[in-house]
Amino acid sequence: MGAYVLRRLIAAAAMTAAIATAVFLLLRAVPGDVVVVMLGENAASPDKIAAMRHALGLDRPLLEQYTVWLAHLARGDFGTSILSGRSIGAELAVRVPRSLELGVFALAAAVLLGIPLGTLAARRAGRPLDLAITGVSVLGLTFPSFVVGSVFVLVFGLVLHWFPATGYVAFSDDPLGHVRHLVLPALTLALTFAPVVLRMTRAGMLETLSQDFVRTARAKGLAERAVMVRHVLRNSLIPVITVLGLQAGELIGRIVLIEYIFNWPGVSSLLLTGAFERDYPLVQAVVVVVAAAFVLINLLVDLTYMLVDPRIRLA
Amino acid sequence: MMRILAALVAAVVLTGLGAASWAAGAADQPKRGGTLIYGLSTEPPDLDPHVNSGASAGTVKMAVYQGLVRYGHGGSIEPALAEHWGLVGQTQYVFHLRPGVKFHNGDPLTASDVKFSLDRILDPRTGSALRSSLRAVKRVEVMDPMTVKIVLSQPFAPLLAYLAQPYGAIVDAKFVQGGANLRSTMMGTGPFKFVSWEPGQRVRLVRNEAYWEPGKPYLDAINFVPLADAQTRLTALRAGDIMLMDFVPQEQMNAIARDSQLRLYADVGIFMCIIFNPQRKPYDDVRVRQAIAYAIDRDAVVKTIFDGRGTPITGDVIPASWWAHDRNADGMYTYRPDKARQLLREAGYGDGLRITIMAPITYSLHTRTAQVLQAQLAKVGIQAQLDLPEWAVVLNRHNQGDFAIEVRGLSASVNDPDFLSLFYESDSPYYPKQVGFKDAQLDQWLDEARVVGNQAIRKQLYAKIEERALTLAPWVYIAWGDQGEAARAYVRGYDHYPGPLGTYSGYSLSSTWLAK
Repeated sequence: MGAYVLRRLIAAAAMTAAIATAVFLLLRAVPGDVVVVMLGENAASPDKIAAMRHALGLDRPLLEQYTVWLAHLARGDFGTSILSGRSIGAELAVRVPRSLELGVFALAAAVLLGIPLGTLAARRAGRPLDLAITGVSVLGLTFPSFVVGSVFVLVFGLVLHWFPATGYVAFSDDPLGHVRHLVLPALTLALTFAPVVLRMTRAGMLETLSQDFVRTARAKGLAERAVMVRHVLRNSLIPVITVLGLQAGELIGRIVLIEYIFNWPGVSSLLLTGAFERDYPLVQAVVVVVAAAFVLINLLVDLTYMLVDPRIRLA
Repeated sequence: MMRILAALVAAVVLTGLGAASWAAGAADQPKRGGTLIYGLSTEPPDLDPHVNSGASAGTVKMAVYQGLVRYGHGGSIEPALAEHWGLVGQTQYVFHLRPGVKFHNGDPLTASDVKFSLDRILDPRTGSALRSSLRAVKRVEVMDPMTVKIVLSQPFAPLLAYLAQPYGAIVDAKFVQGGANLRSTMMGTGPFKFVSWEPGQRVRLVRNEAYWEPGKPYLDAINFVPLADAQTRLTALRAGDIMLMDFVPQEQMNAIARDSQLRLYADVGIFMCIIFNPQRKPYDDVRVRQAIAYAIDRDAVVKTIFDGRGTPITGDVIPASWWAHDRNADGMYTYRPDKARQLLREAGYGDGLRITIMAPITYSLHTRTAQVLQAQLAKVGIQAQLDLPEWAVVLNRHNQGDFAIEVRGLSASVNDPDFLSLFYESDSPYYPKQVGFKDAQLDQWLDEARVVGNQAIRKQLYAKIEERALTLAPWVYIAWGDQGEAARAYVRGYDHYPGPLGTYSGYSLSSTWLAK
């Protein structure tokens, strides 16, 4: 088992390094120049541009830039933003927790909505309640998160004034305000995500319910509640966890969009301005962190399998 | 009894009315206190006052820093840190500093701070937006602790107009020499003091209690919040999450103006134009450039792009409200499709012409203009394709001269017709150098107009410059459009500066207050 975990860890590290390399090369291939953006449209004489490129080390050979960057990265040093001159590591330390908070709350809300409702639908399969739940979940799946987000802003922010439409308040400044700002974006994310959890739970439960051991459990006189929780739900969770892992990856992409709509100051605005202004080290750092998060989530999903299903440990 | 009752009712109503009108009167008296939340289109990339890092960053810097002179309400140049000044001969400006002014850390303002700041602006390593405009400045001398002299290499009429820009900020020499990083912190003499910059979240300023203008500023604090998306910004304003926003999308201006909860502060501030690369075919032929100028229906552009809030430019691009505007040139390029076709025939393109127009997809104003032009040019037999890269790519290709025809939205960089030298003077790094545009006549006139002090003579020179530039048509002007801010109705005392000075409206934050 230790060897399995180690093997997976090495694969994850290699994957992250490969992504880092690809990002570095792709960014250099994209047209546009950070120095020109930096100097602005009125002040860019060729000698000024050359001087600035030199000062930033952008005139050195690509291989040299790459190795320097990688060496710093290996030590956990993300470098400084070309445009703002600030430490990218420090900036990420502020921003990543904010995005993470949004993601974790969304995920938790999706699970808390999806698993009970999915279980309920499975137990009432084919009846009106099941049809109502699955019907609504189809709607949730169909509407893209940015549509749901915009509707939420309009209804709960502009018309009803229940929650602030956009923005962010630090928890340390105003705990209640912080939570109020969190509700709409987290709920938006959760609502596009819960239907998937719901449907996987429902399908898994239905499949498990038809298994022989369920009949056996019932036959030996176990309470229905115990049958459901201990035998059916636990055995139905593997596909749900897989989907959670895959969706958590997709969630990262969706968070970018939601942060934009709700002006939540997480990593996405950093990534967007970095990309628009060609701030190479900034974009590289954000992409590497996001990719590492994605790889890590997949790793965790694989390791969770082992806990839920002992058979996988042998593989 | 009834009569007494009626009289009582009347009395109550009258007192009520009196109280109401008294309250309205009181509401016009500036009230101190409150925090203004200002939604900016761009998070400041840096806080260096001498560097132009965009209009939104400029607004933040303007609240903290001040120069020798500044733009007042209405756009006139007024004293700021210099109380008064005089011209010695034609090339020496002597500035007398305002006594008793202190920096936010308590350091007194002295002439050596002024010299240090101007030297910093002129130092190429600073990358200041003012450096090339101030190339006539030979040196800066400290005459005594409160007097400073700027020595010019030649007479330079627009000096004060340039110094009044926010980039002419005076910084504390001791503070900077002590190792402060002006890119990430701010410390000036302005109405507000810098507290913190929490990236992606806000820049926070508080009132400078020791500010030299009596009674000002009225606000306790300002939080600048970045809100990149224009629609999100407007939503936040409507919801009351922010109280003031910059860069209102043009297509929403009329709706905001009608909304009693909101107030629109806008004036002509941006002009759309076409820039040609005369080194590329077919734009090497002046007739093709003129044909395109005649093929544009400018009224239609104003309607579609600016929602009617704009003015077509049929001649001189210098704003009509300025002293230098040349009325004789107005009407030079109106919508004349027949003339356009005729010019194209003469140039040998009678059978039609295929072109590619570059515009940044980042800005909807630009892309929409390009789309309208595409439709209009088709009517005179020009099939235009659109090439829509991102802004960073557009800037890069523009700087390398790697474009044939480009749609741009611009403003005058300074409240003086000298802004034209950026467009037409052969050594300007903005356009002429990239595409090898050089006209000896324009060079000579632009230089003369900058040196001459007499406004009547300058006006004649600028008229000649504009008429020649319009005939050569390296640029084709389309229309001026409104640009501006929007605020909740209870935000008072804010002022949008006229015309191209609109981006300097942040100066009025010192007189802004909240009526709630």
